[in-house]
Amino acid sequence: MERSSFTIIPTLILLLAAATLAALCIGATMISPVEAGRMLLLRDAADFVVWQHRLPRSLIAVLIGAALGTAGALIQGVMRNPLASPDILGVTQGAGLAVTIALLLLPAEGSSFLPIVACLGGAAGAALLMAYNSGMAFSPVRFALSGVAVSLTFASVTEFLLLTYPVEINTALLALTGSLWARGWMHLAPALLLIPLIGLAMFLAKPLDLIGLGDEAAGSLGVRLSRARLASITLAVLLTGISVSVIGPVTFVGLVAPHLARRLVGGAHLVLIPTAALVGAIVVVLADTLGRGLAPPVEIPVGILTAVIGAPYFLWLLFRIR
Amino acid sequence: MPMPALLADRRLVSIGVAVAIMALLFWWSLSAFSTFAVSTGDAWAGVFNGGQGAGTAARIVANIRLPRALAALLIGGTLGLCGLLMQGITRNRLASPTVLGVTGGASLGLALMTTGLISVPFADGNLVATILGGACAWSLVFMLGTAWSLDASRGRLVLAGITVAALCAGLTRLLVLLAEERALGMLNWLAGSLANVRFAEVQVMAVVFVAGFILSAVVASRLNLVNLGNETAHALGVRLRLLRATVFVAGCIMTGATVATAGPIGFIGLMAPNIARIFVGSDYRPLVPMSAAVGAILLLAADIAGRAVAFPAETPAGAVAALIGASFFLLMARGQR
Repeated sequence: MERSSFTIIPTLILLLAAATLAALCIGATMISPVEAGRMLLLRDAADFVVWQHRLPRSLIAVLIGAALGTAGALIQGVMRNPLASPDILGVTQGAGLAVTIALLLLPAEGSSFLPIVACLGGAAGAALLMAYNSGMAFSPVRFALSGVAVSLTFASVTEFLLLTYPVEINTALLALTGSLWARGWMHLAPALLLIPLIGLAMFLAKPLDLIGLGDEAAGSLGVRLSRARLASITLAVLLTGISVSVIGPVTFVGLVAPHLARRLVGGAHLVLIPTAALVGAIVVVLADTLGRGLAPPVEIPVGILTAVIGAPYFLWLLFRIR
Repeated sequence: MPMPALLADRRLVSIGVAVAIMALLFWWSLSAFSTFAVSTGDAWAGVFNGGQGAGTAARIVANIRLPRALAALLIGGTLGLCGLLMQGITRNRLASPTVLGVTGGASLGLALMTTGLISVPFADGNLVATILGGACAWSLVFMLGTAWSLDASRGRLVLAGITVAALCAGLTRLLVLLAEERALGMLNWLAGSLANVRFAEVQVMAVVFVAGFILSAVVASRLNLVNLGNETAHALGVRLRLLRATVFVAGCIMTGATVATAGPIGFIGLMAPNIARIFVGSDYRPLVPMSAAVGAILLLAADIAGRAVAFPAETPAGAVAALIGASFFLLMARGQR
């Protein structure tokens, strides 16, 4: 395991770089890789597409994909439920609803408070789910079902609001399904917050390994692990909330990325978390590139593509659970 | 000895009250929240004379309001029946066309056809597309949820259904975005809107509803037996396979018809039978008319509410139904083992 993870992480980094380069090249106007490289390095009059449009967008995609992958790894580590993810905890849709309400109530306000609103919404979603499940013994499927019910309720409210108080279609899609549309340099600022948060997640790697040993082992190690649990969930809520505030509720990344990472490098969180982050980043970048490249100039929101890819994967997981 | 008679009375009374409420809502929806004044006389003329010789308002009632109200009534009733059948056959009170992904599959089928990816050489191609789409989704969900096995987890079936529904919704949105310039209008349709229903579609819907009602009434007693358990039902002579196949075909046709008429409207099939159970108990025979009536009431109310919320703009009835229905689902899912 140790040896292969040494090669996997650099491979993933290379893959990510390649995916990002592809993202710079593909779109309504196709640019060759060489041309894109030239535009990156030598700023000149023709570099608008790369510098103003695709580069900040791709960077945001990388950061958010990494954040969602990390959040998923944290949640799956705490819950020991293979179906768990920020979406199942109601965090993604809760944050999405909060952002929608904020957008509708205060459209003129600057977007600097959106991350806070989103995190509060995500926390509310998770809290609602915990309260909903309190006092009941649950299987992975039962828990996932309750999470899906909570998320579905939030999503219905969001859709209702967007249909009753219509906003411009791209903004609506952003709030409904998650989209990188028009995400530029100004949106990168809140996304940069994600970097130290992902770093913080690494400190939880060892406690998460211990939690993964099972309730008895974890119980004998007492208070510190319940603090680690709380810290993991809080961190996951922050990561997801900030992500949703930038690009809306993108689902399934927090489920698929940790799973794929686990298959690549195993369950040791010290390597699992960075791997999940990298896989998440690659997924989001590729999904966005596909969304822009399928039928230019129409952009398919990245959230729709991650759902189309992620839902079959979730179904397959469900099928495998006994 | 008077007790059983009283009970039967109460159920009949409930059904009667439901039908009365439905009629009242129907009448109200003809004139409620309209951007121009519709008087009772106009409504009467519109309904019964086709609006001839009575002015614009009456003609609008006849040509637009009436089909819309009828559609709400028929679609709501059909979905209520459909949900009841599904709940009966799966012995799961969370089952419904939406929850089992049938509605999602049907709208995906329709989207595939209207965007030209699949063409069906039938006159009523839309209906065929929705029925086939719903059938595919239902099959997939039941395979994944291993619905027929004895130790089937009910939660798993529902989870599979909702995920398939989400997948279909994602694919439908994808297709719609790729193909439509008026994407915002399509978002409205995707939420289930009664705004553009015309008489031709209402006629189809009426046929489907009546057929569905008769079928449900016929299988109701068998569904009672099924809910006692598979072995018991078998011992009592219920042909389970035939019953399942019948419900499958009927459910797909009924759901397909509603989606072809007004787009995917969710959760009516979940709420109506469960609300009906509160009033008439678990016997499927009175549940059939009650579910239909409650379903019609719910959708009529949702349509009126959708017009009221942001008057004079309209929110699609499906979005209102989803709002209430998802919360309903949330409450119900808590009680599931």
